[in-house]
Amino acid sequence: MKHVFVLLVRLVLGSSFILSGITKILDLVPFIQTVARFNVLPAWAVIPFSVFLPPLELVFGISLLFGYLTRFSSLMIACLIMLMAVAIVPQLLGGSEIGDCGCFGGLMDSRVDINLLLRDMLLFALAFTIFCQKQYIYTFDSYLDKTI
Amino acid sequence: MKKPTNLTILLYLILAAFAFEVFVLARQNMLLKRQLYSGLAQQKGNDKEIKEGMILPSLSLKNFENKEFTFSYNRPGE
Repeated sequence: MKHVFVLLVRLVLGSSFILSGITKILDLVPFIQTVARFNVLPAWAVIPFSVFLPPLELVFGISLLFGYLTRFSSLMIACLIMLMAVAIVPQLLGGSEIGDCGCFGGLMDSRVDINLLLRDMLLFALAFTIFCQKQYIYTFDSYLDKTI
Repeated sequence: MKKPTNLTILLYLILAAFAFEVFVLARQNMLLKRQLYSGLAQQKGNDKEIKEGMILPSLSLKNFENKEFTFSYNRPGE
């Protein structure tokens, strides 16, 4: 039962990160503007960060969904979620009005508020749950172990 | 042939994602340019193809040499 739960979590987290990565790639310019509005990075780092983040989200989402390097992918996804949470906290404390968080590009608007932080914390807990498992079912890793 | 390590495969995947990103950006850029040029062609009121580098030809430096500065703007439909 636990394995099935982890599998479901993997599918949900992986597909949401794939969606997030693709929508950010398709709407890259608004995402760069959103990162700049957050005002947590130095000006020179805004564009490199905004360009590097979506492909990483896409790749780790795919690898988590298909179960390739599952533990490593879940750790990386947990790190990415923590990074986003760290960016959100100063905005909440400072009470700045950022508006859309840019999490899913132009697909849906989600405001930077306490609910977003709670959602990130939930996703972090899910990613960490995957990371803490010793065995996974229906993964590409286990297929490779069997064939090689 | 030497079997690629997990890290190598992951790097290939990240490179593929970057390539996808560059492709999407290039395509968006191309579509934007096409929109801009077709809009300009419409504004000029003729069907001549406007090539790259000929945006607002009346404002190019060549037109300023030994000529009076004239610039008129007609809104489409006027």
